[in-house]
Amino acid sequence: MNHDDRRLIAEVLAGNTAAFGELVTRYQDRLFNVAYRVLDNPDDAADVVQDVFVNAYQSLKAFKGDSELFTWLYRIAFNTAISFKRRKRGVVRIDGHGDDGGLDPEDRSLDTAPEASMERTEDERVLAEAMAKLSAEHRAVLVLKDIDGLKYEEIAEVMGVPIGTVRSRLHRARSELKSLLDPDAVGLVDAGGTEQAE
Amino acid sequence: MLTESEQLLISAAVDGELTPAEAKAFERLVMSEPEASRLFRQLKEASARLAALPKRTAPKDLAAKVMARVRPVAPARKVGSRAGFFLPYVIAASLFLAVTAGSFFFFRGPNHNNEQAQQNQLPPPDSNAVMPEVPVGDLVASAKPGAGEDGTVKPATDDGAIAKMPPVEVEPVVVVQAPKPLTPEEKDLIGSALMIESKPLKQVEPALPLILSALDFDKVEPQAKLKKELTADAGFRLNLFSKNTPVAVEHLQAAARQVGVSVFVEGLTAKRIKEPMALPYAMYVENLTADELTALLAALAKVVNEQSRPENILGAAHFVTADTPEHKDLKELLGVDWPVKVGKTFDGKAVSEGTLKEVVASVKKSGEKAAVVVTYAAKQNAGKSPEVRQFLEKRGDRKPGTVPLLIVVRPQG
Repeated sequence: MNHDDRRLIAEVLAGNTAAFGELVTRYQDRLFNVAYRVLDNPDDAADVVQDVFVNAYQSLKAFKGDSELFTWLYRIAFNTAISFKRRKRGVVRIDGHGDDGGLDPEDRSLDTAPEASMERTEDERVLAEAMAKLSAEHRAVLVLKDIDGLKYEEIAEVMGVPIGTVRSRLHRARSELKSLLDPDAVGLVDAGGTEQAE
Repeated sequence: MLTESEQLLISAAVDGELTPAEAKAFERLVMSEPEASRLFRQLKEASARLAALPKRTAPKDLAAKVMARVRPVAPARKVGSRAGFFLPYVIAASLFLAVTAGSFFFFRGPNHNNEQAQQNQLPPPDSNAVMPEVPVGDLVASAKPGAGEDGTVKPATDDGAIAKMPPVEVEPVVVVQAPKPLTPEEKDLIGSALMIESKPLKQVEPALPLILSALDFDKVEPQAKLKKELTADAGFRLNLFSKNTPVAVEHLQAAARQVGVSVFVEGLTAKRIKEPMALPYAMYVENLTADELTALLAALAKVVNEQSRPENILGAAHFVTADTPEHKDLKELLGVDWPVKVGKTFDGKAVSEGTLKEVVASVKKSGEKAAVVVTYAAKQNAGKSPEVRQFLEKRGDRKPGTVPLLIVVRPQG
């Protein structure tokens, strides 16, 4: 963990709440961007990011500091986003074993979000529509890797899965996205394929 | 057709996450299988399209909303095993205390008063007015129908006949008088609880940090907020968040010089800014008034807003009243103590275009205003560097009306 984060956390735990404001400012944009790309709705993303910081503040004492603060925040964000979606429209499980027995299908609610379609380029709109058709965990793994640039190890920590699962999930997600963006392309991944775990 | 493991290998290559052995295997695969090369290209393209999506930034009020929500709650403390060990004892002690206190008040209330009244009004124990001895059976019988209704006790014989005994006089019912309430001077701490004068509760204003956009420092409304904020005598920390800290701190120096402040840059820090290294940097200034600081920050916003992408140079700004962490920072950065308070600093006047120019003129005229720039990340004692020594030499006693300010330019994102 970097020195600045460590110092700010120590200050917060010593009772200096203002130091937490610095942490919020430091990470809010990055978290918001990730939440926005997963939820595809700016208002929902803002709500989730708020909840993430409040949860983080309340659990800060439990943060051991053996990982980067942003990884810890991402993990809270990821779980919060998944819970948020579950509350909003049914069962979505991070591990792909939801009560419905599998990954969630296309998220129609995201297509209709009016804010989502505003101020977007054509390419962004096409990508957002394709992303909305992916399962929540496929969407999240793509966001964490391709949009936010996390490493496999960090994604594994955020999602609470082995690195092998990250690798296979990412490949499946990317292949699915490629098929959605280019319907003429031949699917390369067996639909019944299982995720590889380390 | 590529196998699943080959496809995973290609995907990992797209992500740049191959081990050396996998990299060799990937190279061989691409050389031997045209399909592998095509898949690699397609996946790379999909990945690049996602990476090219514009970065969305959080709403401006998000930080303020979060702070409003976290303010009332304290960070949760872990309950350790020792606390768990003592928990039953704590509960038992609480129950015992509650029962004891309850009993005390219960028995102390009316009974206590009775005792006191009896002590005041009944004859002493050695009085001659002793009740005649009456058999228990007779007393029980007196409660039966037939007992005297005139207030006398008429003992009955075994055969129900009324014995001819002289009537026994019963003490008249004593009217209990409540004791006079204790005055506070009597200091009956428990009994006089209701006598304590309840003072009205004070309303405490929580010290919320002022959060602004640094690019708005040259606008009227934020300036008014700045002026209002800079009234505290204790001084401040200003956190400026930047996507390009070396450039931001260069503009900060330029803004300081524009308003007539001499800027001393610690040697190693100057080198880091020039390289440039994306580190947090700090500027400390203590001999400027609220007006002058507002002018400096306005000049900063102005110079940054003239750049092509100002939002990449400066973002949010936090004002925090200086306290122990700031005092500690200054000690670590410059090896000096945070200046002591000298009294009220703000005259309550608003900043206008006219006064801003006057302020700048006054700063230039005084010729004693100085600031020092150091690297914030490396919290070494920079007091030994010649530039910092020069700054410290100019540092006399804190003048009335001045506000110490530690500006920290921090990397954002």
